[in-house]
Amino acid sequence: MSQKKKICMVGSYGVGKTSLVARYVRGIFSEKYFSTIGVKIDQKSVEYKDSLVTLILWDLYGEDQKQQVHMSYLKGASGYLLIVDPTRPETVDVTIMLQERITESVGELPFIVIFNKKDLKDEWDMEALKKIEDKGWTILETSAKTGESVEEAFYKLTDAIIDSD
Amino acid sequence: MASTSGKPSKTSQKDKISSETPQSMANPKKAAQDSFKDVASNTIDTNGDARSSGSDNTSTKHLEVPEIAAEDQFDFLVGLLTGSQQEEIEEIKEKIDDLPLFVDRLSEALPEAIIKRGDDRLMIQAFTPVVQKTLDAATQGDPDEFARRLLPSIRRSIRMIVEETVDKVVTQLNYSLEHSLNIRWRIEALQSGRPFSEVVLAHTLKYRVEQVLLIHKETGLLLNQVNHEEGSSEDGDLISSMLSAIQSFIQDSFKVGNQSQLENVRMGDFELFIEQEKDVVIAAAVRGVPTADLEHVLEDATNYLQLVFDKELKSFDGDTSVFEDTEDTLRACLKSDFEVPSKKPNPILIAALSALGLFIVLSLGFNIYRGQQWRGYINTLKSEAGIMVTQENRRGGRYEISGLRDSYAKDPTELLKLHNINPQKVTAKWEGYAATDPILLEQRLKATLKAPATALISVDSNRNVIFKGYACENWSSIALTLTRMLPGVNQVDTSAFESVQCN
Repeated sequence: MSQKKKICMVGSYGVGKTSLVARYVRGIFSEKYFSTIGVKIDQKSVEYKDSLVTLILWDLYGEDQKQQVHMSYLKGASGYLLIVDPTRPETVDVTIMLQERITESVGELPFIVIFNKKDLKDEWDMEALKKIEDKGWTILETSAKTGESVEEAFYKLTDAIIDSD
Repeated sequence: MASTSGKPSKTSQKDKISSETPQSMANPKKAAQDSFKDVASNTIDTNGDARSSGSDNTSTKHLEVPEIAAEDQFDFLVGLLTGSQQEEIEEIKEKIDDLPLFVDRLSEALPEAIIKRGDDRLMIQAFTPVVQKTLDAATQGDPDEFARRLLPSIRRSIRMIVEETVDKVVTQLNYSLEHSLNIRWRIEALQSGRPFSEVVLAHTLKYRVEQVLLIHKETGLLLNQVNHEEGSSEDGDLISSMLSAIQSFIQDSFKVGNQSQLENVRMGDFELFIEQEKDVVIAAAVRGVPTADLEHVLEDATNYLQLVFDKELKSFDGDTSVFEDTEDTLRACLKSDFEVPSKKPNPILIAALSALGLFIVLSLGFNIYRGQQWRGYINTLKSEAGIMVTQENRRGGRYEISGLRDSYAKDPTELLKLHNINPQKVTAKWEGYAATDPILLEQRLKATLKAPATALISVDSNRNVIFKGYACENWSSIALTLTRMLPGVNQVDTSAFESVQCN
């Protein structure tokens, strides 16, 4: 059986969402779409147990002071990855705020928090990260630079989505 | 069943029951039975009073209370309460319980009900599986009978399809012939390095639906797709999601609301037609300028798919395999239209053909005219004395003629002028001969004999030579000898001629 799932990559500006996707997928749209409509679409097929799951990845423009994430982009999503840059503590607050907004807009969806930039773990602000850890959310540490745990992140999210179906 | 005849007025009964209400709350059936006893006894008392006093008008109502078993008293009371409505209820119940009667009633209402809700999607959705199963049963049960019944309509359809196909083939053939000779396009193909067919397509294609995407509206996920070219595009998933994103972007950015929907996206000669339904979207990538009916085709397909797959669309969980059956509907949207070779004749072609026709007609006419001239010339020659045509020919505007000609006959070249024939175009070969024609014979005699002025020589129609007058004996003897030796001379008549001695 073949399934398709819409997955959104959400997070603050510069946390490494696009790098994570680039590590993982093939796409046809260039990054100029970020500056035009604030989203870039990519896809990746993963073998999940005995079936093939096509993940349609909506890489949403990073939330910053100038631009807000369009919540309508999350409509119809099966789940999402919340990306955090642990070297920048301000991204933690943005992540928590985004999660709240998403839940408010489209309801409870399976998601995984990604602590990216594991290759710079020495620079992580562990105190700031504690705010997220205290939430009890599923957290995975990845490095888009080295590729560490990137596949695993998407697989775990797929697993969570299919479990929730 | 309790009888309703002779019962008291409803008002009085209701009032009575109303006064008993608190008691009836605890045990309604018992309360009703008690009420019944009260009502009955009260009524009897009333009647008794009426009979004794004879002054109350109500005493005219006489109620006979039947003897009713205790267990039936509740039903009797219900009968009293509902009154005539009970009869109606019983009638309705009877109509429903009586199956044949119910079927009759239903059969009267059913056609009208179906007509009234014929366009209702739920009705269509309800009927579709029934009709499909009926057809399945019919085809499996007696396929021959089924085929026989369908044959008249199928035959007509097949004929129409064949006619249409033949028409298309002929049109295509004309089209190919017309364009295969187009030098300009061949040069363009050579210059651009593109295949000739592609250049022809670019010049003649009115429009073509290159790709049709079926998209789940909520998720933006691709459910199915068909392409004009064989093989599917892997980009369909991304394109459908991007379309969905663009729509969301526009709705968010310009606050147009969810009711406003992306309809068309155009760039150059490429246009994306988007038809949306409640849960499904059809996006058709079109090259060129389509005819108006394409939008109807897309709209019908979208409506149809929404209707047929309504349940699957609403419960879509990412499994697209259930939408594989949409392929035929989507493929029907892959329309295209080419420039049909104009049935109106090309004016230049008409002018050229007319000129050619005129030229041919004029050539033929001129040829016939020349032929008649030549024939006239030949006939003139044949009628001339001293000329015998043995062979003549006319070819490629030139003439050849050969024969025999008396030196005293008319000059054939001079005769050419009479018939407006250019002597330069005539090759003539005339052999000399002595004609026996009386006129020529006479001319020859006169020229040969050189008769003196006193002697006259003539030849009659029987080629008899007549000498008249007189002449010297020397000349006369020689002249007469020569005359008799001349070919063609029949007799020599000298009866009116005198030969005289001269010094």
